[in-house]
Order: sequence, then structure tokens, then C-alpha cells
Amino acid sequence: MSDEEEAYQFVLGTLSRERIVPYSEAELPIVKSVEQCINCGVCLNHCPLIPAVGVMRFPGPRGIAVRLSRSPPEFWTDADVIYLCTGCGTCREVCPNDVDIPSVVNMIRKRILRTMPDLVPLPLHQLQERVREYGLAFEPWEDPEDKADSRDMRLERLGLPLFEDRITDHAEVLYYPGCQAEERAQEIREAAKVILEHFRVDYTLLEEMRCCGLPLELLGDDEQAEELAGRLTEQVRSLGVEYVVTTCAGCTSRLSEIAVSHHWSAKVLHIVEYLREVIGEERVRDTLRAATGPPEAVAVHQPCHLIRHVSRNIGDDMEWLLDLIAPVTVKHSGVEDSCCGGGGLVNHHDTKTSDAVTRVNVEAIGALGVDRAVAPCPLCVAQLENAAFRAGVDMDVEDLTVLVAQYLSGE
Amino acid sequence: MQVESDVVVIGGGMAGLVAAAVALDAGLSVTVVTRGHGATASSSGAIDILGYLPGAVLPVEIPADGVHTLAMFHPWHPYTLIGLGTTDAGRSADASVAQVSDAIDWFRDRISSAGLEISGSVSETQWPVSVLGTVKPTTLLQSSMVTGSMSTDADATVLFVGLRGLPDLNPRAASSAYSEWCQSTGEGPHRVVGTVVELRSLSQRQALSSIEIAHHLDTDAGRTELTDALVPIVNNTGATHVVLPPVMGVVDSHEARESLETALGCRVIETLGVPPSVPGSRLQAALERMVVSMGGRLLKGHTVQDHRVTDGRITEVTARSRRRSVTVSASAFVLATGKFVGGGIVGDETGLREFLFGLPVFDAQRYLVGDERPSHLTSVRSVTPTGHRVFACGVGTDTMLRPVGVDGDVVYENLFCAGAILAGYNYQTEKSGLGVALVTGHTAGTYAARETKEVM
Repeated sequence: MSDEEEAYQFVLGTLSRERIVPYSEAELPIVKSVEQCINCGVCLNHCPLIPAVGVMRFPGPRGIAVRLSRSPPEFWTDADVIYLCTGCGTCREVCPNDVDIPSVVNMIRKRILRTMPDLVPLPLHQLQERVREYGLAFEPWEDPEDKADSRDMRLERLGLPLFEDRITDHAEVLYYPGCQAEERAQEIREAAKVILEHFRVDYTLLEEMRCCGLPLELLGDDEQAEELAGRLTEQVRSLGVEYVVTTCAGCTSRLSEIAVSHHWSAKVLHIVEYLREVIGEERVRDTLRAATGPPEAVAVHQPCHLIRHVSRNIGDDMEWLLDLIAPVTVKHSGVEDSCCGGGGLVNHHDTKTSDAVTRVNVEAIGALGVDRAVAPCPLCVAQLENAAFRAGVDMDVEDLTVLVAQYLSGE
Repeated sequence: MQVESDVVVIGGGMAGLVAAAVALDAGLSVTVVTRGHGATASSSGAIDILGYLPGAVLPVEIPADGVHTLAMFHPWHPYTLIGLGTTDAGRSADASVAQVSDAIDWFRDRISSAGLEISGSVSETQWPVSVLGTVKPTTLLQSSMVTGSMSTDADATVLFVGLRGLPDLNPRAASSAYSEWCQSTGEGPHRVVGTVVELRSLSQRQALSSIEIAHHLDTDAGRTELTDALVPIVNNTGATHVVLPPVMGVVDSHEARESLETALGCRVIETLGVPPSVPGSRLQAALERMVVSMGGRLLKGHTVQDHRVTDGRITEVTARSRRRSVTVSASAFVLATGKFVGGGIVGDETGLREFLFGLPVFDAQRYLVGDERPSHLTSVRSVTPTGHRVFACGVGTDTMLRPVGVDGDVVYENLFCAGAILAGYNYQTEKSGLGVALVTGHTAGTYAARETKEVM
């Protein structure tokens, strides 16, 4: 160990006794972005938490930036508010100076987890343990037969066919369903397979599905998140795929991030993007032209992890796709890009707050009187469905992937 | 990803969105690339066309006359330039006034279709109230801010209302400032009072933000709570005009005002917004709705990072979002990236730069100031009628709003500039910020549409 290195380790030791975790190289741009905050407060007018719980309970993105700009930050003092952020990224989008509040929130959560773990809400500890034990954010089914039964029931209700899982080591596309579609909303995984089969895509699934690591990033366990990212990187490399196709918004943003940080040659695309960019507008149009069925009115919800953490363009892609399906008429609630409240792990420990955020969507979509609402994300779908149920609003919510698969297989 | 569009607008504030709507009006396809909210969203929500002539201490009484005078004596002002673009120097001042007036008429109509009622015209300056109880000259107001008879009626009783927990408006300070203003001008009401009321269902929250209250006043329950609290006070004081902080609804202030006025039986007026401004956000949202409802493509969260030039013309720009990039090709481009808040002009110790194309930066008199430290362009005294030079710096253009280089030649044939990116006007002292944005946005959109049609 060189003198310099030794001195550095000594300082680290002192800092850790003082419960200070120094900024990493990757965190420095985030910290620098906070220095750009001009205190205008535009973020407060758009943060979905403020109308839901008020500035008394949650000081808003500006509140977080202002606290951080004071030195030295005592991160743990933010523990009562930092777990309320749904991580939608609206503040970063409207900010005149690109202050990266969603990343700041993860950074603070990371420090609280390291130095004051008692302040982390219990369900988040449980989530962390679950991922450590199973590699998945949801507890897997004990009996594989029960899992298959659940899947078959869902497929029967939706009228979707079942294709056998394809697992090869020489495909062009890796389909990555994510934990939720793997273990809970299995119809989404199957629907994606229906779409890929329909367009004769040369795809494979992973032999063993592992979490993308987003929940860990959100609760501040970046070490375990990095392990998962490294593992997935090896798999993607050894498979040699050209595309990694996803159906979950959170997975899309997380994998897109890993693809850059871990230098993947494979391109990460949500299935909606894949259809438009790779299958091609013409082929999709020609195929969906044949879609028939009774007319239905559909409301769209745009997931934050797609439009704000990846690209707003995906919102356009969704509209484009739905417009091709003749029986479908899209109705606009005016709040289609408003956070569903399910992000940032808030729904794990505080459903009251996450439901208060969802209320905006539930009320606006409920008032439209549509046949169903769709979102290209299992988390948004579950959040909207549950919140509507708890609020006593009768509303059918389905994943966009499922809707497309239904029209493809209904020919 | 590669997409095509007839016109690309860079910047999504007042200037950019107006330019987009004008091009959409002309039947073209338009993509607006916007990074975040700029000065429009933080504005007071009123649209100043011209409050003071440069260097003047007395306000402009009739904006049209003010613009006319300005166009005669200030050759580099954007209002002057757009007039010169349509006619020769002898008649250009009339042309400037006509263009300002046309832009306003067009805007009032379009923004009303998008659900925001704007009132006012170039023939009369309006006098809205701020949260401090001070009064400022402006031209166009959201209907909820119109003071109407309040500023002239000596027999009126004005009641400034503070809301408990909201620090934005202190009714005691505001009423005394307003009262002083009335005395100094010799006009307006003789009785000005203040009060603080509490909104029942928000009483548990000791600190409130204006946006929470605005959301609350969008509901019937919220309005009822406010009127229940106010009725006895209005009756006791005989108030004819109630002045509220800028919280009258998130999307539309019209409905909230009408319902409050009916319940209270007097005029209800909202003050100008302060950052984080609810009326500013309301204006921004209405502008965005206007463009989207006309079929425009609004690409939020995208920063333009690269562009391609062929034969002195911009052919495409590449914008990056968090994890994707998109290349948009077009026949004409509008640059409406704002100044220091919007980020179009960046200043640091090395000088002032135009952020995107590296265009030279000039001051109001067309002196090159790119190498000047911004602090050298400020005056020692903070408040003066001439203001600080730095606020009038920006991109220099020809009379068609195309940027020019140091030699005065047009840099790109198909790039048109609008709003705060422009040099030549000092919004801070003139009170002309959103007005120049609106009018030059309208002009730039018109030129961009014409350019596209010529190429077609």
C-alpha cells in the first residue's frame, strides 16, 4: 500500500466513525448538479407529492436540494421525508438547470442505509433480504405447478395462447420480463412472447431470471445492485444478443443505464420501441391492420420510468401503436404522464401516500368512462388497479403488451 | 432514432411555443424540443408588452404609443427590427405596432381555446397588484388578475386576504403598501384593509405552498371553505374588492374566480405570481396545451446537443434525453432557448456564450460583448432606470430575426430567433419580457413557416 493509499484509508476510517460516506466518482456530477439549483421552486408546482401530502410532510424537490446545499449534510435527518419520494423524475424534467433530484434521493437513501439502517422503513429491509435470498423482488412460488396454474388462469381470462419458453444461446434478442412479470403478472411475460412469436423474432429468455437491481438502487443498496448488473452483463455478453427487449418501465430505465455503464454492445429497448424501430412501422401497421373486435375506448398511462427516465419519445410510440389498432379509440385524461404513485418503493411502506398520488390518475381516468386503461409497465398497472380498488372506482387496467398480444392473437 | 418535421423549435417557453403554434397554424408539422421550464413558468403570469421606454422613469400609458416611440429611436430593439423586416424605415414604426397588435390578437384567441382567458390590448396599460401590495404596469393579464374598477374607484373598499400558513402574502404589509400607492397617485380606493383566514381542512398544516392551495381551490370543497371564512369579514368591512394571493386554481383561474365572486358578492382579484408562481405554471401549461391540441409534437426532457449544417443551412438537430437520442430534420428552425434562466445564453468568468450554435453575443447597442465578464456588464447601483447591460445581451439578428455574425452577415439562412435569446431589449427595466417573447415568437414562427413553404 502506497503512502497516499494508506492515508486515504485512514481518512475513510475516520469518516466512517463519523458516519460520513464520501461521494463516489459517479456521484460527483449529481452533487454538482445540486449546486445549479437557483431556488426557483418550479419543481414544487409539479411534484406529485405536494398536492397529495403537502409541503409540511414533504418539502418537495427544492427542499431536498436546499438541505443538500448546506454543508456538511446530515443525511439521516432527511429520513422522515426521503422515503416518500416516488422517483418519478418530474422535478428533473421541469428544472431549468437539470438538477438531478431522483439521483440525489437514491444517494441519500444509500447513506442512511449504510450509517443509520434503523431509519430505513422495515418493508424496504425485507425487500433487500428478498432480493438477496431469491435474486427477485418478489418471493417466488413454492410450487411450480401453482405458478403454472396461476399463469394459465390469467391466459384463459385474457384469451391468450401459451408458447413454450425459448431458451437458446444464439438468439438475436433477449427478452427480459423482470421480476413482476416473472413471478406475479405472468400474463405480461406470455403476452410479450406472443408478440415476439408473431413477428418471428429470434429470441431467448434467461435460464434464470434475476432482478435488474432497480429496487436495490432505490433503497440504497448499490453494492448488491452492482453485483446483479455485473452478472447480467456477463449473460448478455455470452449470449451475444443484439437487443435486450423489456416490458417493464423500471427494468427499461435500469438496463439502459447498465448498458451504458457496463459498455454493452446490445441495445436495450422496451417492446413498444422494439416494435416501432426494429420490426418497423410498416410491418407492424400491416399486421395490426387485421385486428378486429368490438370497439373499445382506452385510456393511456405513461410510466415515469419510460418517459422521464428514458425518453418522452416512448409516449409517442405508445400512441402510434394504439392508433394502428382499428377497434381501439384512445381517450386522453390530461394526466396520462402523471406519476402513478407506485415508484420509489413508496408503495412498499406507505400505501396511503402512494394512493394519494395515484388518486389524480384514478379520478381522471375513472371520469373518462373508458373500457380499460393501459400502461406499458406491470408496476403502474398494479398500482392503478389497487388504488382504484381501494378508492372504490370501477376501472379495468391492463398492460399495453397484453392488449397488443390480444389483438395479434385474436385474428 | 430519426424523425422528420417541417419546423423544429428549440425551447419550450413563451417564444418557442408561440412560434410552434404559428407554424402549426400554417399547416406545417412542428416538433418542439424542450429541456426544462424556463422564465415563462416562473413569471408573474402577466404579459408585459412595454411598461417603460428605455431609460424612462414614468410608465407607458398606451403600449401601442410606447412601441411606436421605441421603434423610432431604438434601432436594435426587437420590436423595431420586426417592423423593419416588413417595410422601409419611414413606416416601420407603424409596422412594429401593427405586428405587436396582431400577435396579441392572435394569442388571445389561441390561448383562450387552450383554456386560459387573457384580457388587455395595446391601447391601454393595466395595473395589477403584486403580493407586496405594489402596482406595476403591464399589458395582458390572466382574467383573474384584472383589477378593473379597483384602481380608480375612490369609494371602493379593498380587502387583502392572507392565508394562514402561506408566507407569500402578508395582508398587513400589502394593504399598507397599496394604500400608500393610492395616496401617492391621488387615485383609487380610500379604504384598504387586510385579514388572515384559515382553510379548515388545511388547518393541520402549519406551512403551506401556493400550489397546494391552488389544488384545493380547484375543488368545490376548497372554494366553500374559503368563502365560509370570508363572508363574515366581507360583510363586516363592506369590502367591494377582495385581493387573494396567486392561488386561484392550477389549470384555470376563471372558474375559481366566478364561483368565489358569486358566493362573496364582490369582485375577487388574484395578485401577480411570485416564484414558484402558480399563474406562471398556469400560463406555461396553457401554452403547452395550445401546441399539443394543434397537433404539435412536444419533446420534453430533451437537450439539443448537436446539429448539422449544409450550405449555410441547418438540416438537422440531435437531442438527447436521459437514455436515448433522437435526430430531427427540418426545413426551418426556431431558436428560443431563453437567456440566463432558460439557459440559451451562458455566462461565466470567461464571458458570455450562446449555448447551442456558438453565436456571437451582443449588447443592446450591438457591441460585441462575448469576452466580457458578466459582472463587468452590471452597474454599481442595483436599481436604475437604465438597468444592467447584462440583461440586454444576447444574439444579434437581422430584421427577419436570423442570427448574424460579427460581420453582420446572416449565419444560418433558416434559423430564426425569438424571445430572451435576443439582444437589444432590457426586460428588467422596460417590463417587456414575455411581450417580446410573444411578439418575436409570432414573427419567428411566421418566417419559419414561410421558409419551409419556399423550400417545399
